[in-house]
Amino acid sequence: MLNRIMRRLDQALPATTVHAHCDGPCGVYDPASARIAAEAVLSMTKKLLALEVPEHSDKAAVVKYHNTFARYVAIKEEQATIAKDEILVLWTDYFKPHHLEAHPELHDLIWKATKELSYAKVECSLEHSENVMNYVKQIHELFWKTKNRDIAWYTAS
Amino acid sequence: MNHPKVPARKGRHLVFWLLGRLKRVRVQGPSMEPTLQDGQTVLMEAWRRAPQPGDLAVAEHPERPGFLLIKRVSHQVPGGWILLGDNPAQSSDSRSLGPFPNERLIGRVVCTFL
Repeated sequence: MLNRIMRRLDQALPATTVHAHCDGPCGVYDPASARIAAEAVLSMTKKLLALEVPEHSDKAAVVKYHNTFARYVAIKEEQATIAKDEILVLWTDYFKPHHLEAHPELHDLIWKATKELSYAKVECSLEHSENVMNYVKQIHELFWKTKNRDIAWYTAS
Repeated sequence: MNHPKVPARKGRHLVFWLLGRLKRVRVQGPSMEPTLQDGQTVLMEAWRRAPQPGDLAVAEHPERPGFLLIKRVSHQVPGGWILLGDNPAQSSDSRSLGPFPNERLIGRVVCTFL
């Protein structure tokens, strides 16, 4: 009886809403997406540097060379841009002022990682591509520290 | 993880509610499951003592004034309190919002209403 009255009351009376959910796009962030793109940049750089230049007289081989070369460069460009976007999204959307307080190196790290990605696009440099991976690893470590989670670094390749 | 349950409503809670000392609020969303279900109502009171780990707090979103959240008090840190959802997979809480300053903590959940 009392329970029925209470249920009626509960339905009839307005109550202030207190939220118990996720903000907007659910806060799903993971530096893994930047890592995968950065790995592709490193892989394409290595493949470009390993490409053998064919004899000029062998037209079929020359065409094949240029085609492969162009594809590798296109993928390197595309993946470097993706890696940059992913890092910048973490920076602008995920990281909050209190993260910066706890990790004052954050801004500099993002700056260096994205800068290296620009160099990795402009040049075909093993050094820059490896630097990119190194900075992405540092971002991975910092990111998971802010979540108090111990997520081991790994690479797909 | 085992979360402390919210005490059931007793007669005296109803009296305090009718007197206006307890306020009825409705939970919206799944971040406090299994402790509190979406749509459930609970009674809260303005803090009369310092928060303690395990308390259920109604708190204002640090970046959205007037937007009220319901979370569990984890622990105190410099700058405020760490508040977490009992259902971490579907919760925006101190993990992304940072500590909640004292003045953002509005009330403590005292018992379930229904």
